[in-house]
Amino acid sequence: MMSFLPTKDRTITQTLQDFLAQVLETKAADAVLVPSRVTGDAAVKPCLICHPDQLHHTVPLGPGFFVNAGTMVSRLSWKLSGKKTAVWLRPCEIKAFVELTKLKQGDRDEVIILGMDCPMALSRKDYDTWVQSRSPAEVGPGLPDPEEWIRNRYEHPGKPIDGFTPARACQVCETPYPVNADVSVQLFGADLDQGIVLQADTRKGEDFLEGLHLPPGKKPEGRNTLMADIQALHEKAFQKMETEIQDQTGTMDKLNHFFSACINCHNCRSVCPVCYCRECVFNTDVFVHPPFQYLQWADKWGRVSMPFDTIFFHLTRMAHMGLTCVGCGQCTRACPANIPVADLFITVARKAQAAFDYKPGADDAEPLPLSVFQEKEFADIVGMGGSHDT
Amino acid sequence: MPEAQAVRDKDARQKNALQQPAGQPIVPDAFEPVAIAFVCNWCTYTAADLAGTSRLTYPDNVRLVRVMCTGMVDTQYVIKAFLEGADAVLVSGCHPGDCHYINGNYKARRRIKLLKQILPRFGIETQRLRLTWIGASDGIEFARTMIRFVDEIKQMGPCQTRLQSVI
Ligand code: SF4
Ligand code: SF4
Ligand code: FES
Repeated sequence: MMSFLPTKDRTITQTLQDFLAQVLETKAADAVLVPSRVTGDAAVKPCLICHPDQLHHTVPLGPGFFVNAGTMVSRLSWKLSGKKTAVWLRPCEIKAFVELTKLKQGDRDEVIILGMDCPMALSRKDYDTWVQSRSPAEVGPGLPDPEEWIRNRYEHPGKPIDGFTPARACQVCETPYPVNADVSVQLFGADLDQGIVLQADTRKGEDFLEGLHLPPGKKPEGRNTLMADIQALHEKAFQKMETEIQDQTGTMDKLNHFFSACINCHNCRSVCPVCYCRECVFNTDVFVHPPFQYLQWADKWGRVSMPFDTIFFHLTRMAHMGLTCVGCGQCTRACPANIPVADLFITVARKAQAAFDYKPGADDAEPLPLSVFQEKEFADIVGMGGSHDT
Repeated sequence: MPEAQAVRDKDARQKNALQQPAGQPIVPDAFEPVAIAFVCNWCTYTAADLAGTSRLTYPDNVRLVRVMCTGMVDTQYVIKAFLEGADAVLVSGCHPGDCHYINGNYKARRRIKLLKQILPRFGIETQRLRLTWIGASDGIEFARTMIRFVDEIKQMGPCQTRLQSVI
């Protein structure tokens, strides 16, 4: 089922704000979770909104991406609330949430996932520059009107947007369109002067759209071709990134260099939506080493840099969550040392996921690779590599 | 303390081997690798025990770490072993179907598969990480595998993490 959301001389932002207001007013959902200016300045975070009069603060589409909302949806759904919440998510946020539901850290039952064709996002630094470079116009003080961003993004995908290049993670994203949503919000290929197309992808999504009584819509023309073009572009960008990462981290020595500015703050872990452990082993006493241990290490190699266990942390994190990395790029955004953590994690993760034929977030029924096994598989990695092997 | 002396001598030999000028081939005989083997209590450890009581010898380069099941060998143990300078890591347990905790070895196989996607990207060659099934009665197989394993690592030379500290 497809519905149409006419723009009728409104900006895209206003159109979507009015749509979300309608969702609340018609009780299609009791609350909406949507990116919003938290205090009126340019910081944009997911806000849970119950009252339509709060929607003017929202920025459904824009280049600010401070938090992966997948984690927040998990906080709203780890147990039943008796309420329905519509959650407005980027594709990588949907994936993160779906991965968390597989770990029983969230449940789809009471949420309606509204997934958007992704407007892409800027790095933190570029976002600040973008904010400063635009006059705080219609949307309100502190945040420029993202209309130009939106137009450029959906009408000329692949081009720099407003003169800015989106974050690396976005440039290499495999699916900049919603996968596994209840309703997908289609902007690629749409005539934005006319309106936006909403497509129900699940039964729940259909019921949701039906309740809103919107005019019928049809798939934007040329959407599929556009999608294919974007994917090809992103694939190329990924290959470039992979080559660079290989150059930068192909040996342990290079990996040392890559992380040499790391201060072990573990921000990259805190913001990662799929670093799912309640308590990370790196926070436990296992890593409170006795002093003689440090001296022993220093003696072994001549010196030891402190804080220690930097690479140990990153490689372990990679092994623990790499198969579920959704490629959102938040780890890079959070890094105070300006290390492109996501470039490395996304590169390694994508190849590891391929080895298990796994696409995080794509299918609720597909279990996490390390939570299952087959009796007969991966025979090639068992044994000493000779003919007598079993 | 002859044992301690022997260890010191061996350490000195290793240091010598490591101090060879860069670019020169490591003389396999001079290089004494350190291999960490995580072996499950019920199969491979028992096999090692059997090898011992049968007076079979195997290289003392292999340091056994007894675990209850290969299913408890988290990826972090393997990573840590390498970062501490191990030249190779072996995980060895019961044959498929024989795991005393039913499926620990199947889980271990997936974890090793994963590590083999990660570690080689940073120059830790895939042959340095091995997974084998050696049953409780396979004392001979155990000794043979260890000899072959150490031999291979000697040919490969030291792991980078031995030569250089990792931050
Ligand atoms: S590792 Fe980085 S890119 Fe991957 S899901 Fe976590 S925060 Fe996002
Ligand atoms: S956020 Fe940056 S500095 Fe902090 S632990 Fe991660 S890589 Fe290191
Ligand atoms: S008990 Fe030996 S592998 Fe599980």
